Amino acid sequence: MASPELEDITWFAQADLSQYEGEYVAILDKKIVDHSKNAKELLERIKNNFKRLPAIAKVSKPGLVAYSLR
Amino acid sequence: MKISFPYRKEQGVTGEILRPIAAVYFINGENIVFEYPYADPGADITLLPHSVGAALGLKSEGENIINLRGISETAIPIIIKQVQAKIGGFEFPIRIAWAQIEEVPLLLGRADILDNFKITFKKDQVVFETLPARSR
Repeated sequence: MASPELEDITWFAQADLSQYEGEYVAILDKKIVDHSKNAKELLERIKNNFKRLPAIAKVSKPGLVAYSLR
Repeated sequence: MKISFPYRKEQGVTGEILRPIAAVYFINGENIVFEYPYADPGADITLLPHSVGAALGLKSEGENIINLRGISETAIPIIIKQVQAKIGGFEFPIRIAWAQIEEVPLLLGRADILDNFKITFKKDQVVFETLPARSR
């Protein structure tokens, strides 16, 4: 059986979160429990309010590229 | 340790695209952030946006600011820091590029990742498998 953490990332992988584009979302038990444009503010709101630490994911805009140190 | 993560279905510039992601705890002392970065072997180093580093309690302490460049040649100011990461229960030190701006994606790059994991990109999942201790 998958752990709750793996169930959450599997849910996130399929979820249409276009309404949160450019924001961070907090995910717990296959739900968005909070969101913000700032990860620090989001973490401060959620870190003590749930039975386990929610995951924070950034909902990206199109056009991702890889980066290199130069 | 072996753990598999899915690909996230997103809208790319050419339509629907699948991008590999991973579940990673970043740890800096008592500060813990649980994130889903893209698993990006094209990235030299793990990249965190500014507010994610701030959530980890990172502070600028007079380090050199380095420019990180992608294929677009757009420079991204970053500071190199070291924190702990945990993937599938395996914890290890990791160097990260802490972006001094917010408009960057979370990327899990090669530095300190390929030293610890064999990563296999399958059609529908990405598999992280810890290397034997003698290989790290």
